[in-house]
Amino acid sequence: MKKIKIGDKELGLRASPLALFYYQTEFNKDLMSDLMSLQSMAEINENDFSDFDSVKLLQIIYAMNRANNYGKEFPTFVAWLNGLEYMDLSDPEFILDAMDEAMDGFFRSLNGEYQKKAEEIKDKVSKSKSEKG
Amino acid sequence: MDLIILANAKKEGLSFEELNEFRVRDYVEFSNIYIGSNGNHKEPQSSDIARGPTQKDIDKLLS
Repeated sequence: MKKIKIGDKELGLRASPLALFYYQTEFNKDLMSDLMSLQSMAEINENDFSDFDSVKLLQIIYAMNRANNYGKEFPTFVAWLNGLEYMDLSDPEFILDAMDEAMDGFFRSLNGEYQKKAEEIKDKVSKSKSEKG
Repeated sequence: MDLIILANAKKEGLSFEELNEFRVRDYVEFSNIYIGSNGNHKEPQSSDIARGPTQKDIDKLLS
């Protein structure tokens, strides 16, 4: 289980089998294949997340957050989005954290490879931020 | 895929709550161990099966 921060809210994410089921029932699509398409996007633009399909990412985050709240009342995707007061969709921190939990939890073969890569990208981004600022 | 996992988890005696404690990769690992397909599975040998008790065993127990 991983916690990410979107705006002021801290969300717990769980890449469990129930997240796959929630994704399928809520969006009528397969989480794994959508995740793979996001992964290839991230590979193309390592430091630039402006072309990232943020709706798809938010849908995956929603499914994992819902799995983390199993047994509790949970809003629909639109109501959930409405509950997030502020989000910076170009913030690599939360994108990489969410992708990290998803890639590491859903895919058995990666064995922490994505986590390493995500850490590298985060380092690069924080260095370039500190150089600018 | 998702429904197959849920159905298999039910067969393995897991509740949704228990299943939700696993990440997908952990569940696959659990399943492999459960069905014994992690490469270490072997058919039970006759020496692995416990023999039934005989009158001699019962006499020994009661003496």
